Amino acid sequence: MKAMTPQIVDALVEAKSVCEGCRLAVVLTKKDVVIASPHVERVTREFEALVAQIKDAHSGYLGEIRAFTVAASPQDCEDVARGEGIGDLLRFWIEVPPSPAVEEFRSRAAMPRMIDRFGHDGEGDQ
Amino acid sequence: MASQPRTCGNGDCNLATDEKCVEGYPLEECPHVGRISIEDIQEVRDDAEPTVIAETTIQLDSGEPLDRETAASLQRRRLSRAIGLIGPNDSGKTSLIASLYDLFQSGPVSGVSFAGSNTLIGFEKVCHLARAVSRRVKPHTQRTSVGADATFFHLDLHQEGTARERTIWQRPTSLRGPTSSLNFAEPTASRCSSMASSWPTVRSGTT
Repeated sequence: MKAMTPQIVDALVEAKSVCEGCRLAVVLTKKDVVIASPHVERVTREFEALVAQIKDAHSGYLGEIRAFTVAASPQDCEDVARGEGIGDLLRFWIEVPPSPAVEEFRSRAAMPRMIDRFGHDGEGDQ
Repeated sequence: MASQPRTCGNGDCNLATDEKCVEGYPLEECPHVGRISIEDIQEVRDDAEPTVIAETTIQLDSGEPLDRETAASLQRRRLSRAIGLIGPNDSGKTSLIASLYDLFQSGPVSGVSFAGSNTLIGFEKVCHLARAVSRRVKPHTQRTSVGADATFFHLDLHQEGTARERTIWQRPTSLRGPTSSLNFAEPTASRCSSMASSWPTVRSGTT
């Protein structure tokens, strides 16, 4: 899974299956299993490395990339509550994404002669 | 009050004008007197359109997860956002959806309230095995079939001080393994591209 997750994101981006600027939540599920395992630190470290790898590769294309840890349906673990972390993930999902910065579009296609372009947007003004 | 002219069923009889039976019977004994002639029967015109009584019907949602067309139709009605849950098989994508729905049963989640859904039965089905009513010893979530066609869950959400939010979750898409993840450009990515082209916002969550 450690190798597979970045590959999934790579494929989605390469195939343009997600729009540019899409926000990505990378979620470590089954927190109860992680806590019950003897390798909590290693799992945490590898998950953080995995998220960093995705950020390095796709921050330019995707919007915000954020990591979450959830326990959707914990079993045999009293240290985590059912649904732990889901609220934070829900908030991320429904956050209003920042509006893209839009630059003023100036078309010059209607003025084929160079002389016609002088006097517009300050170009050529002496 | 003028008496009505008597009629005869025999077309050759002029009883109405001369009051005499053409066959010579006394009027009281003639078997045709008073009967309607075949020529007196008007033809029924059947060129008129039959009257159709309009029935007022309403279409109710089945409550099952939506197919792609229905989800797109629902999204066109109001500004909404789509969230795709993508991850390896058995990584907990369906459990995540079920857990979210279950949390809404208890009240708002992080200040966000449940405000309606067109896929309530779908939510109930994925939650059932995780509940005590299923009589399972341990909570469980049924696996989504690998390669199943994309289906969608729908939620209307409400945040304090904001307008109602419509959210569509794509039913989890399972990937078999690293090799398949490169192949999924064919079945899964084509689905996602149609989502991206037809919907304004696509958010992806990777588990």
